[in-house]
Amino acid sequence: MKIREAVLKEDIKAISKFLSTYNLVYEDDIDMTLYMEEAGRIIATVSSAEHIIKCVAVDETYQGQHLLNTLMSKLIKQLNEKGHDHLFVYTQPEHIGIFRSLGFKEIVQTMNLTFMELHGDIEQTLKRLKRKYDLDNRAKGAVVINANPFTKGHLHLIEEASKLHEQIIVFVVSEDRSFFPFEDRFEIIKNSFRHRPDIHVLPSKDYLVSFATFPKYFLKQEQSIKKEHALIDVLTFKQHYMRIFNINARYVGEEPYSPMTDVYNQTMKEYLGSALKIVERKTIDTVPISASTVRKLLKKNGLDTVRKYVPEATYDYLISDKGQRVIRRLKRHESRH
Amino acid sequence: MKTVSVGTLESSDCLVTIKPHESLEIEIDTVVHDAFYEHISDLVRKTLKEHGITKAYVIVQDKGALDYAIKARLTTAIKRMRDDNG
Repeated sequence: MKIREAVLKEDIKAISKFLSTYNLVYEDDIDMTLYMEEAGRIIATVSSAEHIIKCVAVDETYQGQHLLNTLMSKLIKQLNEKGHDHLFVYTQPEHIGIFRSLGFKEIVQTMNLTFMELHGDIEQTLKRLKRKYDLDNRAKGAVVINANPFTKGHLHLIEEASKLHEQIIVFVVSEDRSFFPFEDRFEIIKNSFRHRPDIHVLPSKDYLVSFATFPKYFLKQEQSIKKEHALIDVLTFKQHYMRIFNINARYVGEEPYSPMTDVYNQTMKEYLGSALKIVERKTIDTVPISASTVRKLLKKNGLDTVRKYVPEATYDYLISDKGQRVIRRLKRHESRH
Repeated sequence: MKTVSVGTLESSDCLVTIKPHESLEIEIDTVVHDAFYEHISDLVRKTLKEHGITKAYVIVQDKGALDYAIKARLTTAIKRMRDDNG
């Protein structure tokens, strides 16, 4: 049976229709779709959005013929070509068996979803990271930040945390879907703490995934989708990061404005309990500092207005060639996280 | 460095994936684990050694392939990785 790639609008339309018979919705962010047909009828399909596998379905009468093994083999190779070699899927717990037989391994499970990975291993990855950064087994506090860009708000959060812990780990979100590239965000933070041997700056690796690529088609209400995403993220952090790095407290900034982050913080509170520490947001001239405020100011008014909101390392970066390029890009684009 | 996958997940075949990595790490996932895991593991190690591979993350997803199929898939993957990465 021949595998085809869906490129035409008609193909996508037919696949959406096929998926709908299995109560699945073809998601907007899908960038590759493969399918098989017989006698002009679609019988199996898989899709992906970057490195996330989505919308997997096989016609009932063709199940048990391993069509998915054929489709997945092809998809894996095509994704490798695009540079995605560590793949993920969110699936309903009753379908774990199928994905296991394709080589996927479980990362975490909630009542509704199981988060799985292919061609990677969270346990090995985090243990390797721990060795690479030469971290010992003492109890630690942790902060997870995207830092797009790093502000005095982040600095304040980390400094507050470090007052209560001998050792702090700052996980910088590795996922590259922000204005400031990961490498630069990471470098700035590392520079800011170069005189602080108690503050370790680490990449988060691929496991802390943003809401952007999270599949929305399993759940009906938007609120429950956000909650589910937060839950997967928090459980991954708790069951793997906290255990492997011996983290006993996670620090977050208070979120009075962003309801999105607020759902996230509430979920954290529920599942981390007393290990979650909420730190009051730092204000300058009564303005709470956030990365999005800094981006807005950069976009509208330029460099001078943000100087008081960002640490020196960020300012040095912003006036560098690299920083100037990001600012130009920021000014050209519509607002985005 | 680019990751390459060679083969398929179809019955009696195997999918071999080689990723760039700082050390040699081998992961073997086979449907005939109880009877042939050691055998496949030896075969994979021997083949990697023959090609002088000391740093890579090698994942073999075996669906019951015969020895020479596994060896051929692995050899092709090694060659393709070297070609792709000049």
